[in-house]
Amino acid sequence: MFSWPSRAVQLLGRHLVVLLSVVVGSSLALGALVWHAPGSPRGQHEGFVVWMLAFWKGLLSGDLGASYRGISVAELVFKGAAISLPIVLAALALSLSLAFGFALVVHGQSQIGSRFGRAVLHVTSLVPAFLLAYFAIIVLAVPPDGFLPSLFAVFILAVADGTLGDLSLRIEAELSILRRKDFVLSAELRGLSMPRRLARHLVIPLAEAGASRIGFLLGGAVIVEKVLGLPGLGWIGYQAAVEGDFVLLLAITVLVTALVGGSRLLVVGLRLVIDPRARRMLRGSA
Amino acid sequence: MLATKDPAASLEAALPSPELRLLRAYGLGTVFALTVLWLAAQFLAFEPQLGLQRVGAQLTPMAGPSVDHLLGTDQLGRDLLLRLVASVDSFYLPGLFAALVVLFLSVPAGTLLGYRDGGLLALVVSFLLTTLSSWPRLVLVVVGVAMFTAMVSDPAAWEEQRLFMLGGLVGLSYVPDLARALAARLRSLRQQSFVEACRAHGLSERSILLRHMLLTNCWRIVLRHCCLVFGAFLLVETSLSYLGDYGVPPPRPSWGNMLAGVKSSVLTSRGLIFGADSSLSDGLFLAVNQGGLLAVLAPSLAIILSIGGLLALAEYLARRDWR
Repeated sequence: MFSWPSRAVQLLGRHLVVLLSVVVGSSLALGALVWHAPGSPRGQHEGFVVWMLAFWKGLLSGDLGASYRGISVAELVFKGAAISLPIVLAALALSLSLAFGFALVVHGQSQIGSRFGRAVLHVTSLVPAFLLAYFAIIVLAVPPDGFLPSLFAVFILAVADGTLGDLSLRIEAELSILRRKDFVLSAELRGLSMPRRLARHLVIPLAEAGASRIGFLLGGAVIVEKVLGLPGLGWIGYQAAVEGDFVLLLAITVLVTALVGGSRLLVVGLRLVIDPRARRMLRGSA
Repeated sequence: MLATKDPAASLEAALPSPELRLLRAYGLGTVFALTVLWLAAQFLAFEPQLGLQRVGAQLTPMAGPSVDHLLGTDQLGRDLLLRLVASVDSFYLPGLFAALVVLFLSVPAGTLLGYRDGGLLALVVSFLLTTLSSWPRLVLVVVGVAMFTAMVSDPAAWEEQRLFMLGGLVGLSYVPDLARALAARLRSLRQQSFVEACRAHGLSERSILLRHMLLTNCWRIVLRHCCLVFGAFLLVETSLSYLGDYGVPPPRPSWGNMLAGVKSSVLTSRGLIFGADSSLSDGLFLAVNQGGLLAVLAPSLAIILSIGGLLALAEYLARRDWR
């Protein structure tokens, strides 16, 4: 017989095993391709398995060897991540905040506001990120250095490629379900402050929606960073692909896969911490 | 004959709202227009060395609209309209290929997960889908096409195949989405009474699955994802053509490389006239006065309107879908 905290640990452990399997599976699949590509590390290692084991060992110790240009892969990845991750996280935060606002407007009483909100969301869903970055360069003359390209990248990733539209629709759907719940109706009748109560119940859906968009944002960063000239993970990864620096590409891909999988694991953990129903369910099964 | 359609869906089908009619008209109009433009691109005579310059026409860079050039010319004096039309050839067939890839991989995977209970194969398929969905779409595409380019001896000779490879990778990246959507739908359909009725009438499991579940109740999901995949391919192709390494190389036209070509011209003129610190008004002034406005706006609008049409059709199919 297990208590509910140990059930929670079991559940998280199961998700962690899936995450590790996905990361290992991804690195094996890409590693096999790299192994057979021209300029592969075949000459330096005795076999594919030995090389992969050395790669995973290096992944854990932070030493992934040298890139095509002789620079440390780990150093390049850390430098790129230091630029890309704040941009992606800021874009996600901005997109979620805007989406929450738009969902309130679209779901609100004003028909004009609702239609205007929907129109804005439809238009932003159609604009590709690379096109916005392109217009930022040719119309707004964004300089290639300084803080401005990062700010533009945050805004472009938050709004373009359907990120804002998708998040708004998800939040609006959740809001619509929540508003019909008895406890919300009762709180509304008692004149209690609604936004605070609604926000509390929207944390999990917001986190789930955010986690589902992490992959899109990291993918979008490849194009946006390249267009705006930001030397982040996307830019480094794209250059590595073009120059045939496959060991660096493998390291970046594994990191990105781990980030996408890790964000899903984080949502599971968050649900267990915040949602009493999830804990109750685990107590029931304990 | 057994009735396998949901009555609510039939009622909604009979009474489409004006918004739905608009979505349908825009979506189908876009598909029709892209098909006509693709056919036109096959039959128009182009002069290959100049990259779709009308034979015998005078080269005037960044010229405004005229009788000879209805949308004006680009930075090298080539006819903008002809290049816009010819660009459809760069993504039309590879986009359809992407849709076929997602169709042929997702339907068996979705059926396996949704119609059968458990099993080792279902577990393996589920793991593969989870792994595939952990790769951001563009990362998967860039990594795949980089590997392909590295492995072929003469990348320039494999340009057409590379576009189809891009299509295959975009299709592959959508397989988890469609497979999971189909699996969820099939799980829900299995509980419906018409499936029991079909069994009671002695229909084979294959007939129930193919005819009464997949063809009758899942075609809209499949078609919707095909539209999304086509739109995603158009986006990926134009993005990579803009960046210039893995997309459509000049002089073959693509909406992406048309934008990249005019960019250097606009930026060069801007630098010469206003210096590096030119502002928003300078940029707009320059674009209008140098005749570059159409060269920038035409491909941009073509991309936005095409993706918009495909998304509208996908949205229409989603709203008309069985719930």
